[in-house]
Order: sequence, then structure tokens, then C-alpha cells
Amino acid sequence: MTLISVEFALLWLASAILYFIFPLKYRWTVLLAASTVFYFWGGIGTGYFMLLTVAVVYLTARVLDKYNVEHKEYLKNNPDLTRDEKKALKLKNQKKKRVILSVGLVICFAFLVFLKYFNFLSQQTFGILGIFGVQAKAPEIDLALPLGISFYTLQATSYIVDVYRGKLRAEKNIAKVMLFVSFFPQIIQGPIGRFGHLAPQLYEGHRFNFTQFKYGLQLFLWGLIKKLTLAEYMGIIADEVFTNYNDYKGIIILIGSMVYGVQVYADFSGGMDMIRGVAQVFGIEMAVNFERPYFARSVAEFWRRWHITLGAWMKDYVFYPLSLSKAFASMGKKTRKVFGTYIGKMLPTFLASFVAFFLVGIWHGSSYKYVIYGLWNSVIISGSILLDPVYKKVLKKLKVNTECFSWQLFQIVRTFFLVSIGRIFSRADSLTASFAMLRNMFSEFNPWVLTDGTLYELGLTAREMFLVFLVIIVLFVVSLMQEKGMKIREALDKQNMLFQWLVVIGAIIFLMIYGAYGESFNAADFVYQQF
Amino acid sequence: MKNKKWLRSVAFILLLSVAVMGVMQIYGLPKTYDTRNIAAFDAEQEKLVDGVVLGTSVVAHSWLTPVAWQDYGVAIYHLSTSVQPFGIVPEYLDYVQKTQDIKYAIIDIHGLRTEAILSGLRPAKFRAAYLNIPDMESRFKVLKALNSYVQEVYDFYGKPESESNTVDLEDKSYLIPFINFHRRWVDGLKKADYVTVSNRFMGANDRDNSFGVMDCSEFIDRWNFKLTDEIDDFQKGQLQEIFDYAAEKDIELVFINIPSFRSKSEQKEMSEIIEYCKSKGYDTIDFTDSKVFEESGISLSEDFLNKGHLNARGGVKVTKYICEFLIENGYYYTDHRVDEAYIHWHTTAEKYNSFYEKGWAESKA
Repeated sequence: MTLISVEFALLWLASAILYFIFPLKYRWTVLLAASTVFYFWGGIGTGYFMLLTVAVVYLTARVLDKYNVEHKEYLKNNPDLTRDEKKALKLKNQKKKRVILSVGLVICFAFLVFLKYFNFLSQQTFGILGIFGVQAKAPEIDLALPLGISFYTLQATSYIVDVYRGKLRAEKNIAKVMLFVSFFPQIIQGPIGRFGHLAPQLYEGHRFNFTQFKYGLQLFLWGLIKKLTLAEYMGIIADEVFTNYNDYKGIIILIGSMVYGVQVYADFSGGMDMIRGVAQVFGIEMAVNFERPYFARSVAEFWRRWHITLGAWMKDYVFYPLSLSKAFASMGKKTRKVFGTYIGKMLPTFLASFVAFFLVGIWHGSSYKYVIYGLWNSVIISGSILLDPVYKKVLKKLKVNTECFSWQLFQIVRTFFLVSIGRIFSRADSLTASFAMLRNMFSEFNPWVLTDGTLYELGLTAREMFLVFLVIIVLFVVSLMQEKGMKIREALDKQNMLFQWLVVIGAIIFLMIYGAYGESFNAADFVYQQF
Repeated sequence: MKNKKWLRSVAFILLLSVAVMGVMQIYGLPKTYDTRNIAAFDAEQEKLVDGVVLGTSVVAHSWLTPVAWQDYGVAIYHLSTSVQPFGIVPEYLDYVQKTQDIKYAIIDIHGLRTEAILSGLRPAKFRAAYLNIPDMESRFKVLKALNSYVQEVYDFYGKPESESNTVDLEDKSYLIPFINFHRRWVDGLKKADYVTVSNRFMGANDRDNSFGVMDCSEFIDRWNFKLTDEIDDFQKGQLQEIFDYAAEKDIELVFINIPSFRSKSEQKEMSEIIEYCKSKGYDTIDFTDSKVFEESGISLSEDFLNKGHLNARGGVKVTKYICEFLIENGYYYTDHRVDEAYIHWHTTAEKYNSFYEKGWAESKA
């Protein structure tokens, strides 16, 4: 079952009705039932891995919580302990907890690694063995990837790490843990929720709130418009360029990668809006995953605005633990002596960022192209930080005004260009294909393709191009208003009723007519669903 | 939630529903001549029609209700659709009976030849066959019949390999054609997409192509064969369903084979179908039989629009022949021309005369 299907609409409707009929205390059970129906709609399949993950995080969190409680109680009952004794006790407790956490994390990630990366790792290993004369067929597993495993694994593991850190108490009811891991709108493509933010909202019953309900439906509609009237059409051009990249050169390749950037944004952020809209109908506010990333003025800022929950996960559970670890601190000290204070100070950060982006890359899939995709972003960010003093000097010397709109616009365009180059790695069929595309892109400067009708040969008619252009304008204006701090739905709510109705009905009719669905489209698939 | 909000919500939903229905009507099934023909029948007053002609496009080109009315006072409509699947004849008759009290049905057998059965399994043809029926209950009955018809075809002949010759009636777009046809905005919509217009002449072909001429003399050899084979069990089964239905509803049946020049084997097969119906005791008119063809006065050189269809002049001859056949063979006959309830039929017939005269005059010019 996918977000864009009659089945999902019926499930949403039925669960919303039941949710508000059930007593407040038991409303979470409706969400759990809906999530179970959603997840197992197509059969059990490999869905038992999700159940195993739930069991593992439940048990891990309970044991960790027990240690946390015992430790606190011990300190409470023994107020006379010296500082050293407390420290020793804490270390001892932490050691035990670390073992438990490690076991939990290893099991959870083992499912992910085994199912998502086993075939890739096996092929690579046997490929290397082949170089040394060991000829054998690489073993492969033939198991479908469980729905949403990349998302729920991160969500579930963040829960046990937070319990380990003592930020959270463990949930005693395993059914509630299951709801947190498998909440139906978000399990396929996020956002990657945090227990502290999401779980209380899931468990407490929400009373029917008309405004929330309305806002939820509006957000869903807006997401659907992005998906069906922009992402799907952009996808036609992107597919054409990325599939037949050998037929194109220069600007067409650049356009293809930029168009893919718009496609994946409209697709993913549209999906997020739909998911948040579904949750909002139940009174649940999900984490925001996008904050107008294409307004970013640097790649680092882009990643603070793009797939925010993944970035935040990497920051909290990979980047900070690594960069603040003893090993990295000691490495920093040593390198300061060799490379100087600035580089010595930044190196642990760069390395931690490198690891985090490497993980972001392979999180997307088991292919070298994703590794390069992650590393491209890491190198750009690290490089820009490293060269920042040089840039500043050059700009000062050239007397460039960096406080004006034109400079900001330049930064935005530059960021979009750099991000688009990185997109070639993530979208191309293989690493070889992405390098070939880059080669083709820089092999010819052919601006005439913008005016000689070549663009109309990429799969869209003139009418469709106009439609896409129109939607991009609307998206841009809406984004600009949001960037200025305007809350669109609240602003609409303040207008006259007739105007509100016309806007919403107009949007629905627009979507119905111009939406890319039906025989020639498979609009139910979201790009990030595959990750 | 306060009452005011409930009321507003209901009003909003109503307004939205009206807008959605309107858009679905415009962007739904493209309006074709099938739409206009059935719309014309649907607009007819109740209990005025004595009989109907069913079949494929050969019927749409050959049956001229105004001519039958003007010359014989006979009230017969046709409800043909392009490559009309034969398996829905009982359901179509059921739909007709909802508003009319027909005494007989004239059924052209072009849709029962094997080639038509297999090549007719096309989504557009199926949609045309049932989505144009305005009455929802009848529409679903036809859809259900189509479902079992498709299954029977697949069971008997096997599923065609070509995807364009397969239909999946489970597809939601069969129920909601808007799902597929909303993308017609890419080609641009015309006035006819916004307004459903009935056929101007009670289903008689009102398009300018009625007045084309193709000399088909060279194809006459295709009607020259000896009947040697029996029709297959699937075809017999389809006919038996119609026989049974008609017997139950007390509707008389006449099976006809309107002249066309399909391949020799197809022409032979159609004549064999006619022979089978005759052997079952039903009246038949095979216009490809040399005697009947001669009696009808149809000209090979002047009365055909193309190899598959008659032009308006050929249509007049076929219509008249069938009317005379019905009268001579004792089928229910009342000359309605004196009945005041049919006054609008006179007007339509007169308009058709003008259209006919003008059409030929312009085609000669």
C-alpha cells in the first residue's frame, strides 16, 4: 500500500473515524492497528524483521533503563559517596550499558546490513578474492528489503541510544514501542522521528481539532500537488537524460541533473507534506524534514535544510560522538603540531563529517555511486570551511560586496549547481555512468540547445513544460513567503471563507486535471521509498 | 465542533463535489459518435420505440431511424457502438426495456466473427460500450457482463499476446475513466468535450462522412464462397444467451448481416452465423446473399463509404429493406405517423431529409 492509493485513503479515513470514536486513553491502539494493516497489507513477507527490531529495541531499552534507574537509586541511597567513587560507579555502570547498547545496535544494524548490503559486500569481497586467484561464486541472498527498513532502523536505534544516554525512560508497553517504530504514514520514507518528540504524541489521545484536521488535509493536498504536478513531470526529463546520457552533452546533462534535483525535492518534500498532513489529522505534529533547501547559500546549509531528520540523526549519533571522542581529540592534538592550529582544530571535525557523509551515502543504497555521493558533499563542505579564510581574503581584495542580494543570489545558484553535480552520482545508473555524464557535461558548451527546440525532445510537450513552469513559480512564491516567516495555512485561514474555498477547490481541480497519474504513470512510487 | 462549522463543512463538500463531478464529466470518456447516439436514444420519450438494432459501426452507418419513420411509420432506434462486444446484447436490451416496450430486436452479427471478438478486446471499445449508458444500474450490469464475456473469450480462445488487445476490467479507470482521460488537456479540449450533444437525427449518422463513395465492385468475390463449417462453441454460446434472454422477455429476434467487405473467410464466417441462427428458427437477412443483395438494390459502385461501411444512400436501402421485411413477415407493426405522440419524429425526419439532400449535393460539388 502506498500513500497515493485508494487503499491508503480508505485506511486513513477509517482510522481517523475510529481514532476520534475511541476513548482518549485507547486512541493509540487505532494508530497501531492502522500501522499494522498498512505495513502488512501485502502479506508478512520480510516484515518480521521489523517485528524483530521492535523486540530488540524494546528489550535493550528496558535493560538500559533498569541500569539507569538502579544507578540513580544507588546514588540517592548513598549520598555519602565521594566524587571519585561516584565517577568509578558511573564508569562501571556505563560499561555494562555500553555492552547492552552495542548488542542492541549490532542486532538492529545487522538486519539492515544483511538485507541491504549483503549482496553488494559479497560481490565486492569475492571480486577482490578473484584478484588473488580465489575463484568462487559470490553467495547472494534473495530476500525483499523490508518496507522502510532504512528509516525505521535509524528511528528505533535513536530510541535506545537516547535511553542509554539517560535522556529518556524506556517504554514498558511493547505495543507502544511497535507503534513508535511503525507509525503508518512515516514508516516508508520518514521523517526519522525521535522518541522524545513523537512517542508522547502517539500515545496521548488527541481530541478532534477542526483547525488541525483542516490544516492536515491542506498539507496533504499541497504535497500531492508537488508530487503529481511537478515531480512526475520532472522525472520524465530526468529519466530521459540519465538513461540515455550518451546521447546528450553539455548543458542538457546539467539541465538533467538540475531537473532531477527539482524532481527529488518535489517528490520527497511532497511525500513529507503528505505524511505530515496525514499525522496532523490525528493531531500529531511530525518533525519537519525540509526547510526550503534550494535557498541554501552553501552546501553545509543545504544539508541543514535537506532531509533534516537524517542530518540530525547523523549529527547526534555519528558526528558529535565521533568528533568529541577521546580518539579524535587526541588526533587533533597530534595534528596541530604538524599542520598548525587551524587545521589541527578542524581535522577531527572534517573526519567526523567524512564518516557521517560516508554513512549518508551508503544509507541511500549499496553502490559505490552512493559512497561518492556522500563523499562529494563531505569534500565540498570541508573544502569550503578549510578555504574560508582564503575566500575572505580574495573577496576583500576584489572589494566584493557580500552583504547584498546579488551576492546571496550568486551563493544560492552556486550551491544549487554544486548540489546538482552531486546528484549525478546518486541518480546515475552506476559510478561509471556518473563519470561518463560528468565527462559529457564538460565536453561541450552548447547553449543553443536552450533555444533550438532540443528541450522539447526530452519527453515533455510544450503544454506540459508550461505547466511545470507554472508549478515551479507557485512553489517558488510559496517557499519565498515561508522563508519570510509567513505561515501559509494560517494566512489562508484569515481570508474570507469564499476565497479559502476557491483556493482549496481550485487546487483540487488543478491536481485532478494536471496531475500525472493514470495509465502512463506509476505515481504511487516515491524516490525515497526505494532507499 | 460548532454547528456553524458543520454547516460550513457540508457546504464546502457539496461545492467541491459539484466541481469534481463537473470536471470528471468534461475530462472523462471522450465524446464520440457512440456517446451521441446513445444520448439520442436516452433523450427519447418513454414507450415510443418498437424495436432496436444492435451491432457494431456497420449498424451506425446503415440504420436510419428517420427513413424508417418517414417511409413506414416504424419506430426503431439503433444502439450500436464501435466494435460492440457481442456478449452485452442481453444487457443492452435490458437497458432499452427500462424505458421502452420493444417487440423485436434486430441484431447484426459482425461483432460475433472471431476476428472482431479478438481484436475487439480493446479498452476504448469496452469503455464506449458501457460508459456511454447514462443509467448507472444498467451501466454496471453491462460492465459485469463484459467481465464474464472477457473471461469466456480468454478461456475459449486464449489470452491475446498483444497488450493492446487485452482488457483488465479490474482497472479502476474502467469505473472512473477520468483516471486515464484527464490527460486530454495535453491535446487540448474542444467544445464537444464540455457539452454532450445528442445525435441530431435519432441516431442516424449525422456526420459529413455519410456522403462518401467508394466503388467496391472489385471486392465482390469476397462474398463468393460455399458454407462448409459450423460456427464454434463460443459463438453458439453467445447466441444461445441471446435466444434465451429474448424468449424470457418475449422479444422477437432478427439476425442480419449488413453488407461489408471483410476478408473472404470472415464473410464466410458471418454467413455461417446467419445460417446457424436460421437453423435455430430465427428470421435472418444476409445482405451478402446475392438474392437479398439484388432485392435491396444496393449498388456496389455507389452505395459504399468504404470496404467496411455503407454510405447514407446504402443506409437508406438497408433500412427500407429491413422495414419491408418486418412488415411482410408479420412482426409487430403499427404506423405511428398518425400518432400525435410522435410529432417530434416528423420534424427530425424532415431535418434529416434536408441534411441528406444537402450532403449529397455538397459531396458532388
